[in-house]
Parts: sequence; structure tokens; C-alpha cells
Amino acid sequence: MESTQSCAFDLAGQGAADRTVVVAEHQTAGRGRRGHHWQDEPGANLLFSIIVRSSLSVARRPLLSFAAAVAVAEALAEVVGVEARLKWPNDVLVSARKVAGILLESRSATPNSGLADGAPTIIGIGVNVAQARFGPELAGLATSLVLESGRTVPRDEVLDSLLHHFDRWRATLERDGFAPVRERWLALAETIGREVRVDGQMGLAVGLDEDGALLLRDADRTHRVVAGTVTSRGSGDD
Amino acid sequence: MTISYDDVQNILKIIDSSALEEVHLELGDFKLVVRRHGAPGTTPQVETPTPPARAAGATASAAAPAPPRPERGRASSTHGLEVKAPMVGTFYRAPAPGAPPFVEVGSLVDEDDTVCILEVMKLMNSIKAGCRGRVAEICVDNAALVEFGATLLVIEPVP
Repeated sequence: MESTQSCAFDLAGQGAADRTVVVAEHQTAGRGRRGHHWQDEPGANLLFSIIVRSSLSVARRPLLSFAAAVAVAEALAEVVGVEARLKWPNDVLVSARKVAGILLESRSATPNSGLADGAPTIIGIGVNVAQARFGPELAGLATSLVLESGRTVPRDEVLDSLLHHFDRWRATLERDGFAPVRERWLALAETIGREVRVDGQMGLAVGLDEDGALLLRDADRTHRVVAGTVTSRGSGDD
Repeated sequence: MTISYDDVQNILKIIDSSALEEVHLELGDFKLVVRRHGAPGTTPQVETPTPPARAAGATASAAAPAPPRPERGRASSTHGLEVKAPMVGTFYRAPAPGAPPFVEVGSLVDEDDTVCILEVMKLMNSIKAGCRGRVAEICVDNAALVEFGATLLVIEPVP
């Protein structure tokens, strides 16, 4: 399959239901942020996309990013017993290396057109499960569950657990708002309290705003960051 | 309760100095709707049912003193459809750094064509043209932060 994201968009366009999941053994054109290619070793990883038809307003749907990140961390703790940490907004790290990445995509019309609310959000998740080697550009930046735990990890168990936790956190977000998700994300966060760079902006990551923006403090003021790649010592680009 | 011209002035000043995008205020039969962005509300709307709480002249002039803040780079006068940001985010003209932009000024677009991407919290939101037409203006610089409701592009409909 080229990409679970593309396939999920096609299915959603044909009317696929909320919570439909597309799983691939291998992607030939896996997508990362801003044109980055998501590489995988065939059959070694867990690669899937979830079609989400959320009751959240379009402007609040980016918060699904945090629900997904928390769900991945909890699934990895539950099934594999590894302590996963989160890099803003939704990279999942083990031993300061990236073990899972999450990309959300939507295609909306303008708010006035009335079409925006019905548009699905497609959440793509890639978990490095059994991959043992990474290309030179990812050396030291990526890891896998097998490398970290030293044992076999059943992909279907990780997927089941992950979908269960995602459903739970998504429901919490839709019912109770961002506060409980934010609190859980902060408890799992690697980024907060560190000096980081986000697309050229440097600062101390001091918190998560009520809309999910990263709060970055430099010498005299606090900035809000809503997009970009966080880099700090020991963590990588996506 | 009656609302004076000065009251409206003060309310608008408070709203203007706040971060609020939109305010609806109803006091008895007085109703005030203020939107910072958005074509229908680019001027504050003051609605008073009959009989008005105050003279019609007072409410009409109350609407005038607080024009919306001008948005940087925004079209000053256009007849096209304004494509607005459905969420706060970083505006990208191309799918990836170095890739050709989705559209240029003058490009012909169909309703479902992607004209830009807004990224927020790693949600990549492809924004559709929303109508068939010609791109008249691109109102935001690549990689700039835009607020909810900001005008991103203007498209002149073509039959």
C-alpha cells in the first residue's frame, strides 16, 4: 500500500464510518510532516490510520493530536512495559528516541461553506515495533519496541490496546474538554522544562496552553507555538 | 435597561483591547454582535428591535467608530470569495518545503482543489478553494501564523 492516510481518505470519501481503521504491512509512500517520507521495514512495524468523524468543532480538532499521543504512550506501557514520553505535540519517545509518530490530516472547506464540520480527520500512526536497523539519517534518533524491550512484541496486541486507549481519550476530549487530556499529556511530557528549538525559535518549554499551543519562554517573554518541529538534545526531526 | 452611545463605545473599546474573536451581548431588547474577522461581521452589528431602546440614529452611529483591525496584507477591496482560516495555524503555500505552491495569483481552481495547508498541532489541514474561480489574491506570507477567521486567499468566481 502507498499510504494508509491516502487509503483512509479514499474510504472516508466513500462514506466509511467513524472509527474505521486501515492497517498496512508496509507503505511505499508513507507520509510524515511537511513532505517527510515515513520509512518502514516491510512487516516490522505497526502502520495504521483511523478515520475520525469527531463531534468537536473544526477549530478544536487539532486537540485530537494530544489524545492520540497519550493513547500511544499508554498502550506501549500496557503491552510492552516501556516508559514512553511525549515530545510536543505528539511524537512518542522511548529512551529519548522516537518510537512512534503521529500525523493528522483533514481536508476542509471554508467555515462559511457549511461543509467543514462533516469533514473527517484522518489520524495516521506509525509505531516502530520490530525494526532493528534504521537508515543513517535516523541513526541515534529512532528506536523500536523490540530494541527497547528485548523481546517479541505482538503487533495486534499493541493495535488493540492503542485503539482502546484512543477511543477512551477521544471520548474524554469530546465530553469533558481538553483539561483532562492536557493534564495526562503533561504528566507524560518530555518537552516541558527543557531548552528547545522549534523551527528556529529557541526557548525554555514552560507549558501547554489551553488550546494545546506550546509555551516557549525566552529572555523576556513567552511565545505561543502552534506548529513546527521541536528539537532538543537527544531528540530528532520527523 | 437602556444602552447609551457611550456605553456602546466603551464596550467596543473593551472588546478591541481583548483577545476575543466574537462577542454577542443581549440586554433586554438590545442586541450587539461584534466579530473581529469574518465577512458578515466586519463591521459591528447593532440590532435593536422596534421600539428601539434608543433613537435609531444613536445605534447606527455607534456601529461606525470601531472598524475592525486591518489585517496585514489583506485585500482592501475585492468582490471575490474570501477563503478563511477554519482554525489558528501556520499557513503553507506548498505541500512540502521546496515543492511548487498549490496556487499562484491568477491560477484557475475548482471547488475541491487544495489552495493551501494550515498546520496546527501536527494536524495538516488542506484548505479547499470552495468555489470554481481564479485566485485574485494570496493574503498571507508562506509559513506565517494566522488566526482563526483570517482571510487566506481571495478567489474570484468564474462561471
